[in-house]
Amino acid sequence: MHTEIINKKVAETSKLPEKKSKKLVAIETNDFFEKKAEKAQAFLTKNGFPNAIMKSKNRN
Amino acid sequence: MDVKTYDYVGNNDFLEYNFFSKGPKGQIKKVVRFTNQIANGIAYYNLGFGDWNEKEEKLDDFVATNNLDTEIVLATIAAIVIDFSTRFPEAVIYATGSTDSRTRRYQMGINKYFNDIDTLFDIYGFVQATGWEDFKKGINYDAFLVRRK
Repeated sequence: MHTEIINKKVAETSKLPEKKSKKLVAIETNDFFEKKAEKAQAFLTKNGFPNAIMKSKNRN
Repeated sequence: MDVKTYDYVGNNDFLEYNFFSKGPKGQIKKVVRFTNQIANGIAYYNLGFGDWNEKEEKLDDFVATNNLDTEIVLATIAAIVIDFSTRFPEAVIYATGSTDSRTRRYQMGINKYFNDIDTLFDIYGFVQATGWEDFKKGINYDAFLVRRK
């Protein structure tokens, strides 16, 4: 009986999804923000900036 | 701004911040990242924002959190933008929502606290028909740019 319970627990545990590694989480997080940043870049490349910013010292 | 915000934490270089939304759905981690980029010769930071999905262990920006604290979350993001721009006073910050309704929500937040925001920032809004202009209340913008005065 005791063994059955243990086996059942082991079976249940083995069904749990594996935790992602920190490295994978970091890569996916970077991807998430990179996609957003790419959209922003495409938008601002196409539509430019307000004149006040274009004339400012932020211009490289 | 005299409005409730969540405590937030910035990382070492203050390009990423996180905080926890608290409500009926429990504690949900929120992540804000400023990504430095250049377009048309202008250096700017894209403000990215997402919810940490504990189950899938990844960030998500299309889920409706429904934690009944939208106003506190928006106020916290505003506080983070103020903190970030205090550290990087020349930064031009670009923001838009991941959906039209979220962009409208950002806009409502700017409208509501416009008088406070306007004392600290130059704010611009983008309209497809006419391009960038100084932010005015009552106009639906597609995107926003802010910079410290």
